[in-house]
Amino acid sequence: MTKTYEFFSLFLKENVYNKMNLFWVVFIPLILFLINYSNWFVNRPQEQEAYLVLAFFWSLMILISAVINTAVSLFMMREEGFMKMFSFIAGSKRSIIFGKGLANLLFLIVSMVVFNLVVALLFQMNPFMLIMNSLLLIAVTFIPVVLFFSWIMTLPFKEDSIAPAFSLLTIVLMYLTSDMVGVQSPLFLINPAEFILRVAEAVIISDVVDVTNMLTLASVGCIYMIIGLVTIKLANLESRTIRQ
Amino acid sequence: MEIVNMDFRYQEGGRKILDNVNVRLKPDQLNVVLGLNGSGKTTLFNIMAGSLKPNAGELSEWVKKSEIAYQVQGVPFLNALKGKDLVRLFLKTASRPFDVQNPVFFDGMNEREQSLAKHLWHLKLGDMSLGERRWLMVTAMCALDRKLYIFDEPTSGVDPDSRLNVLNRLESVASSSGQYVVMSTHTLQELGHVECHIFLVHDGRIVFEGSYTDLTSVHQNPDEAFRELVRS
Repeated sequence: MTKTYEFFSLFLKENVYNKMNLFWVVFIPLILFLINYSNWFVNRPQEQEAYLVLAFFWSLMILISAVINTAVSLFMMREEGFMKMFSFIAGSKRSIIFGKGLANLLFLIVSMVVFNLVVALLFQMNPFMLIMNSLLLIAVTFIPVVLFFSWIMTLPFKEDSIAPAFSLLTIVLMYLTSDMVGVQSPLFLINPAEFILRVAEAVIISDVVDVTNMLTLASVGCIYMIIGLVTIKLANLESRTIRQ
Repeated sequence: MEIVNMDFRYQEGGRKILDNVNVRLKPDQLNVVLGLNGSGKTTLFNIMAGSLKPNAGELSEWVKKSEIAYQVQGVPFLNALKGKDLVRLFLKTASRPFDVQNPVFFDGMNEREQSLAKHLWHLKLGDMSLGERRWLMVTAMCALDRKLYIFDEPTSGVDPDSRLNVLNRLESVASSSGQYVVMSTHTLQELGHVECHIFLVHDGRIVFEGSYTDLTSVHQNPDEAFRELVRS
């Protein structure tokens, strides 16, 4: 635990000092939201519909945090030799990965609070409900989604090509969800963005408890976690493009 | 620690990176691996650390991963971290004691090193010179109490004064009982200032093994001696 805490503390400082993290996780979703839903200033929708829209942006924030801030960042740490050097010092790579995940989880929680406070202030919504619902979504989805994307850190690509590619992928994944495509299919659950949105709909927005849907989502979450844990166990820490 | 008749190639049927290599590390001296770029120095280190498995040969007295400190070149750290934060990170993640008020870290340092360490303790990494950062990192690694220390070009890009500081620290750890310290470098002149045992890797083989005095016995300039060995 001490080792994980030390890495958590280091990565939290990095999050605070690296302004790009704040830009990606808070400002991009907020700007996109305000551009697309500026009509809410005049005509605010019903609460249910508003939550449905906001869930899309909460999902985007979770996805950005999992893909760019965590998985791509771990990939960079592998390429720069940090992962190799500290896995020798700490005795394993697990404490580094968990420290990174926890630091980004805390950063995401703070970002989500900021996002919802701004939305609540601008559109006179209940900030407490917004914050609680978004935090519930993070609690259920962040860890499985981060673990699912851990395969990114095993990719044999160059460091400078991966960050733009995955920034684009994050947006593409959001637009490849069943609501956006207009077709409903369980196959869409291969897409973690779909998983987060479905959890948001099932846990936060829907008034009816659909046991089958809940079990499906729980199974998908477990599969994501198994994929992640196996990947972390087998991941090679040597750079695939640079000799270290 | 000894490597015996070791072969290594990255791909089946590919070029041999190491060919029948024999290396016996000295426990009481700084072991230095020299070689041209791409000669197999880092591969040799990775085999010693257990990160790569050789195709043939054996390693006697295999050191467990938890007993190895392996410094990799060019790992970036947040500039806002202070010297004490960096030392804390190294020590605490290695389950070593760390006390910011009364650092055990300073134990075993001479007066000059203590003065440098105290100067860097509250200084941000971004305000340190490259040499100061390297020295601090090497010193923090040396405080980990490991069986095997591997340093990949720890003096690369560092000014002469800082280079000697780094080398003196490594020499001091090497002289402790039962610990192996091995490093690589391209700056041969610096080796004249420390007690070291040199291995020169070329074309996958060890073409020279001995002291700095042995290396410079024919040519006083170590660069000339190096050149002659890799050309012969």
